[in-house]
Amino acid sequence: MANVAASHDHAAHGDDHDHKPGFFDRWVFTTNHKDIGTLYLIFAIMAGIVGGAMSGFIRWELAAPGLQVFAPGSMLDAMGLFDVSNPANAKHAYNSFVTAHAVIMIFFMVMPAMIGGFGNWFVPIMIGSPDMAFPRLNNISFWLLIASWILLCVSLFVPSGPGAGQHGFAGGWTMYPPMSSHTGSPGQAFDLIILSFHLSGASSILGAINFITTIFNMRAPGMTLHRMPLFAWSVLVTTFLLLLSMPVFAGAITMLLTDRNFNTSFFDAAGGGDPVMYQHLFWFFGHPEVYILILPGFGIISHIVSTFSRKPIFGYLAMAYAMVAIGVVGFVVWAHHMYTVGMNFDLRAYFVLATMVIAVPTGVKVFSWIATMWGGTITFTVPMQWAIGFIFLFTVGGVTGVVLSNAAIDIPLHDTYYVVAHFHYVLSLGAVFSIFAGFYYWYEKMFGIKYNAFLGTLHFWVMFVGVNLIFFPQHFLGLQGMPRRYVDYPTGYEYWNKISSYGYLITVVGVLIFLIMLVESVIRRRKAEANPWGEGATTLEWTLSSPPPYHQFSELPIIKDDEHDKH
Amino acid sequence: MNRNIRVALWLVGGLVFMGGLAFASVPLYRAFCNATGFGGTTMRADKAPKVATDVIVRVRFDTNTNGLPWTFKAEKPYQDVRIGKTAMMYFTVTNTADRPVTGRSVFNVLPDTMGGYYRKLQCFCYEDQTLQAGESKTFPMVYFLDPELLKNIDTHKVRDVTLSYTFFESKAAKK
Repeated sequence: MANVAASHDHAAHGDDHDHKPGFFDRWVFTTNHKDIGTLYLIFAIMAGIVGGAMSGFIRWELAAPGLQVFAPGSMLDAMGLFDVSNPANAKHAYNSFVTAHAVIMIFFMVMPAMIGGFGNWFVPIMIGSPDMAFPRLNNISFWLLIASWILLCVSLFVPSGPGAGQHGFAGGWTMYPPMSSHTGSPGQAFDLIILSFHLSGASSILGAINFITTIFNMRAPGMTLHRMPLFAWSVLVTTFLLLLSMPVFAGAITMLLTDRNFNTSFFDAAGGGDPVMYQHLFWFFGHPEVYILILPGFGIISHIVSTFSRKPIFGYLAMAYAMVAIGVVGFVVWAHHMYTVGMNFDLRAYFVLATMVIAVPTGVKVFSWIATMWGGTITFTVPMQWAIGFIFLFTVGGVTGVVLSNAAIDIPLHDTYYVVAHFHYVLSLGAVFSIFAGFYYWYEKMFGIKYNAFLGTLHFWVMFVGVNLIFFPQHFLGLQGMPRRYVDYPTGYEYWNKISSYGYLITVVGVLIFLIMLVESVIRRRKAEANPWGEGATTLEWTLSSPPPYHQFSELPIIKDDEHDKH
Repeated sequence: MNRNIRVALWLVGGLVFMGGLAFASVPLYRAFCNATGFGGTTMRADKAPKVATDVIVRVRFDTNTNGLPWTFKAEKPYQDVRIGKTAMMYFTVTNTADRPVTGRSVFNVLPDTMGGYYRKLQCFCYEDQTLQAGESKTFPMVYFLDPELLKNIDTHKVRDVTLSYTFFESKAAKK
């Protein structure tokens, strides 16, 4: 403990290793990776509820043709928070909801939950480290994210324009100029969004530096990279993607900022700039970003599938290097998001090919999960159900992704609900299901109490039916040509939109069951076991008590050969 | 030095490199477009080719103004030129306002793949032009279509080219 404890203030008090500081010191100034992980998880749940509520308004509006929620005299109008007093402002408010929903779900729900939450909690434990390499940096990462969140929320109530009373940036999370330049959004809402992204980017980059340093330098004796659990591998790849893509994004939005405020012309044709260049810079970040959202989920699913099949993961090294391959190739496929900008034939052909190549390592992962289950002693626990649900949903999203990767097919489907359905299948269903899978897998470990497995199972099934009902019909809408980011649609699209909105209602019930599950477990306080999952759970977190001691591994574990090495 | 700090410094180096690349992308992209004619960037040339071909291409002229009180017209809507032969077109701009206005033109070529083969010997682009109240000015543009285009699979069948010019109010003058 000696050299580790030296970095903690309270070590000076000569306290034993399970001493916890007072409430304020513990939760605000914390440098403990588990406490910070818990803070991230609580934040992600809160942000997920906010972002989910915003999508509720979207689905409510789209449940029928015409304007009903984003309309004068509606319940939203009565709330008085958002100006929907005339149709133009109502449409603006709708698009600002769409924008905020996307930003919240990506930057304030999935990323904090996966990287900040599970990453902080389990990467140090899995590699046999007492804490992160830079514990105070870890604290800064978390609080920068809170500051970023506040700026984003404030931006919703700040003039954006171009008309009077149009608050909140409405140009989508991709923020293309000229929508995001002074012409399209003269108000200051978007400047706040830029600053919000600068802060959350700084938070992510500091976190990435911290994780990479931890994984490179603080592994326990014998924990070679090739013996490292797949979740740690997934976070390693993810944080490299963050480190290399975030600065480009920061550069792009800084250029937007100076175009808006300091008369530069990076993206302004009048001054010799090019708005398409923004799209290149954005997607150079944006495409790795979508892998940032899903890769930690891959890691989580590998652990769960292996645990509940009572088999080591099939093709461990292939699984690790498949993630590396996805990360590397992910940097050279960005223009498949922008087939419609007028690229020449050869360039489109390249991006089609490179994009399809990604299906290979992704296929390696899916087949390896199935091969892990094959011949295994499978128990259908709550996390295993979520994991199998993930594999199914992610594969559906992957298949539509291969469809969309074809430039010729993408051009008619570009910016339709087919694309919306595709990325919600891989993210809203894929990433979110892996988060819930991880949450149910590690809940006992993290909080030291058991949840009610019936409620967890019910949560899974209700959610599974609900999200499929939301997003599967959106494939049909997209194929029929319904465009994204419009508040209204012709009556021909009514049927499947209505079904989709019913799906949202079912999903809300699922989320309520989740909250009931949390409350029930907190009230009943059934004492957790150190390892509730039996012999299949082989990673280091299961060697500790539940919850783990405040500072673990005062004696570093020695890692010996295991099944991984035999493959 | 602490070995954690050492790794972190490497990572910060990578960070700075990628951030620098984002900004370097502007000059890099420009250099790339000028070198290859990518994305419809038209090319400046010093001299016309020695041989003209018999292939005739119709070059259309599109003229626009954005945010300034000018009229902007080409002398003719189109011109039929032989590939490799030097041609000239006059453009006239008139300031309809009762004050001097400074504008600047940018242009583009469609189809994009023709950008690299549309070569200019003389043009009036990317420079501030000030017109007094009510003043008219005529600018010549001298150009030719590079016969190399007949060797490129993307362009050898193209018989219609559009050059689009837009005058914007000069950003520098607006300040």
